[in-house]
Amino acid sequence: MAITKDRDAATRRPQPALRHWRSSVAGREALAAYLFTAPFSIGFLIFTAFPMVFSIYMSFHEWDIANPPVWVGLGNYSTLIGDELFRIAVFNTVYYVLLSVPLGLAVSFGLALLLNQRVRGEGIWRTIFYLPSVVPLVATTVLWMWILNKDFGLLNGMLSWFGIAKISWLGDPRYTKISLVLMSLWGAGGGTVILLAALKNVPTELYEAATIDGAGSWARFRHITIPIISPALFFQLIIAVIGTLQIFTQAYVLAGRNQSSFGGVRNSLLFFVPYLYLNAFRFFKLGYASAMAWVLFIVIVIITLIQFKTLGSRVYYEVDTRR
Amino acid sequence: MQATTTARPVHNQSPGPTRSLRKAPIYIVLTAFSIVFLIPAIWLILSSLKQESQMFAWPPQWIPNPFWPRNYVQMFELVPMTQYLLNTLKILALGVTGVVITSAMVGYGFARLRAPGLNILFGICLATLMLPSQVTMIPLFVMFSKIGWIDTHYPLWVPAWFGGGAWNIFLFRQFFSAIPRELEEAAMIDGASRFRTFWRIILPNSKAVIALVTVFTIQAFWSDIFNPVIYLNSREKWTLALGVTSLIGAQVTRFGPLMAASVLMTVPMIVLYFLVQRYIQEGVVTTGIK
Repeated sequence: MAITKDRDAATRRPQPALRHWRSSVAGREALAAYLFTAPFSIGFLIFTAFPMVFSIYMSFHEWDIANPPVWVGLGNYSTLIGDELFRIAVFNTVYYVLLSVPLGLAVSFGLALLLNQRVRGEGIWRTIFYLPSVVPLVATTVLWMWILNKDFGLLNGMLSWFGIAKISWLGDPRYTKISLVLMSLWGAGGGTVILLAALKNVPTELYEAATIDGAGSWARFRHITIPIISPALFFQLIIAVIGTLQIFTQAYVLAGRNQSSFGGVRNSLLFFVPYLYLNAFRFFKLGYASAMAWVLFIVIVIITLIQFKTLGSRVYYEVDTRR
Repeated sequence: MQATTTARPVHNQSPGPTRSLRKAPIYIVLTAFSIVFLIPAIWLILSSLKQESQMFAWPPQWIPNPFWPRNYVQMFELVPMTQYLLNTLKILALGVTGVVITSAMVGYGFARLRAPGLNILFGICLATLMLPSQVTMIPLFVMFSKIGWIDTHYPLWVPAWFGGGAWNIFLFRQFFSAIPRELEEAAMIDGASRFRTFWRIILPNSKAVIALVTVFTIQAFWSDIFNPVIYLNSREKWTLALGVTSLIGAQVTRFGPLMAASVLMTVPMIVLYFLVQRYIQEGVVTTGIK
């Protein structure tokens, strides 16, 4: 409002048009739009855009906060390639994602399919499957730490009924990541709720029509259920991959609290983000850790794009005719 | 999975004994899975009520003998659990309020209003879903350390007041888009301002999505360990999630109090789930990922 009184501004801008724009319905709506979305715009600039630029700058420098940054060009990135621990962290993370995501999706989808069979007490089953995903991750990890305890754990106790000798779940590098997968499967019911909602959206007329046309249950599943809920499945897959790549809490609780034991037995629990955290906040190699963060970002973008390219084209989107 | 799909009943099939018999395998599988899902939770509760000497027994014993609720007292003696709880509640209250208010506002802007560049802004918003927090984490740490916010609670809740995250904005936008426009148009003809319409008409009609975002955000703040680990050094500022891990010793782990602390951390989340379960179901369905 002060601007219009400013002589300079008044001569520079076509004032009647401005006033017209401001008083017009579209102009007032635009002003409201910018105000309503202002928290995001401001937050994006302060907490995302500026840090991203800063982070790129840091990734080309060697910096420990205390001393001025030293330009190293792509040095941090090339060091990563030769870093043995980094390679272990990448291997462990990929291993974990490849096991945990498909199995988790299979369990949550399987349970959703079962619950969609018009079973009695659907709400109770759904609650039972959903509850573990409500348990805070720290508590989940602590609990499974105890269940998987080699000498006194419940799992080994139950396996002993079948004459299986005690397994050192968290002490044997061959089993540590499997243990984390078991832990993640316990929370797989979280996806069940969303997939079940998607399954319930499949119009029953389609099944009836297909049945009349002589389609068997497999054909109905393959050609009706899967295409219609494919967006929900696809979405779950992407979210799961991105989230699982960033595994931190479980590894931190199991192995990351002490610098001496960081990474667990023979680094079998050393994952990407915990290793990044170690470099940034324990070793204060801020530039090196920033380079790792950018590698992670680029990997996530590439994986997401690949998923969209290979699977996205097969995802069926219903055209919304309501608008 | 094949077995489950072949058991799918045709919609208009006549009910009868054959139908319930056909469903028997489904109930068997459901029961088996329920047991597998419930056992760890039951084991957690039972373990928290056992004396440590009984915890270290082989083979593992189910029933606490003697019944030992002292673990719940002992965890408060071992670590300042009350302080951790108060810290968590403070951060949670401030952070969740910020997330819900600002993400609802932004979501409304994206759902209902038109302005040059707004679609691009929404695209940017969605793109940030892909951005791992690790990219911004280190610069943010440097920024917060420059203004003296390290070892304070500010870095944990202040950013929540700036849009509350792309995911929540998206949920609100989806939900608001489904509300009939006539509802607000009537109010605006009566002379109500945009903000007033949003506050008095839109929000009261959006209980499901507000509940959904609130619960998800409470869960996130309650369980977060990544940010507290980075920003909080002194023990008296720690959160519950961080405090629980301090019961895990380098040499000796006090499993009894640790299990009790895990129960303490879990119970509020379970209660919360049951309180808003109806809204969660409704919210998941309405905002349904399509």
